[in-house]
Amino acid sequence: MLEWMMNWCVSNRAHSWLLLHAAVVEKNGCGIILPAPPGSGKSTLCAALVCRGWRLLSDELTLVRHADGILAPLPRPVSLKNASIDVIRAFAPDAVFGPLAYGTAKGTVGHLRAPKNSIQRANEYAAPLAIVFPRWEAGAATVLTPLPKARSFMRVADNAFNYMLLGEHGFQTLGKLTENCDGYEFVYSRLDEAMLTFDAMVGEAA
Amino acid sequence: MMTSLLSVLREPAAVRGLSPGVWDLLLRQAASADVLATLGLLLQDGGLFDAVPAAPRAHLEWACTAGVSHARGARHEVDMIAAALQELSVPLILLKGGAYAMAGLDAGRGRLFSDIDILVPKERLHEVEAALMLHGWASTQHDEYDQRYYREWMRLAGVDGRAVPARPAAAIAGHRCAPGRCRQCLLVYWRQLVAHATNIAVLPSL
Repeated sequence: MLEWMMNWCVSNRAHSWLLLHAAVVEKNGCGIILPAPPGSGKSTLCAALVCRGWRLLSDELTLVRHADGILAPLPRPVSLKNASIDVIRAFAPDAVFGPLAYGTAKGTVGHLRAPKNSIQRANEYAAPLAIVFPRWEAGAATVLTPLPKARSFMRVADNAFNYMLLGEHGFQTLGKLTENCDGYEFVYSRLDEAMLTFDAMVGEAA
Repeated sequence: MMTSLLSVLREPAAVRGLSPGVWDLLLRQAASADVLATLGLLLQDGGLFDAVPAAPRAHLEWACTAGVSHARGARHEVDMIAAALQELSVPLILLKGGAYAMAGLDAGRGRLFSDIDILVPKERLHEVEAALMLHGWASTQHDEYDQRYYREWMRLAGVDGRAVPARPAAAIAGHRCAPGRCRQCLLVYWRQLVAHATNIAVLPSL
């Protein structure tokens, strides 16, 4: 509830940013935005990435600055639900979780501690490189498909909290963002393979 | 003397030199009274933003953005209403919030309202309601009890099934009749209103 209220305060007020419902991580100075509706595996993927050395900017809110399209971090614990909790525990045995909340409206909810390094660098903004729309599918092969700019634009707009409210300003900021970032659709089921895909995007060989 | 929201609204220059604690209270009072955007635009118009510390200033700027967005949305809505009424040759008369905003009056700066009230000749009410319905508006007051309340006691049904509180009989001094029920009063009041209404020449569809 507290987490929801904190998100509400940002997503309903902080209009000096274009606010996206998206996780956002960074490595080698490259920010990757992961917009997705609930249930698409966005937080799980984000948790896995930050357990493997990516910097957590946020698992829920991406703040895009109007003037230059740069991303502001908002690092907080990553909220994971139900089966995702055990998936991440198995994937990263060192991961630290807070006490689990059972029987919430969303089932069991656990919070993964944000990496210390991400918290220390909370004031360090990141330049966006790519927008990746993740979708977890049981047993699916790992597939990264490029998206046309216009399609990325519309899909990011669908995942924005204040796109309509910002009017022309929002259109300009989102236009610049999609212009500067490659857009992809990403289907996955195995986190290890997903890590390789993301590392390759920022120029890291396996 | 404690600086209150009211004193700042009356005398915006009073914001100079306020302490962070007073700003905290002022912002919460303004948000709670739905006048944060009004306050922000008042300070912006008065060139007083430079006198506001960065943190409260950010809140005020966000509220201004939201206020401007609200005005844009209201303008669009009024334009749609005008288009619906145009084919009936019923003049569009706005009351209250929508009127202040569209007439560009100071009282409308940053003002938030949840409905747009219009005044139409009583004998054309059914035509107007039908025209609005054909243009996509739906009544939110389906309940017969609510309908009777609005039509019997509020006299004039507004857009979206909401009511315009009107006291037409009060317009003619010394004339005693049942409030809102006297046809003569309504006609006189109607003519007075049309004669004194502020013209809005900026609507594209008018």
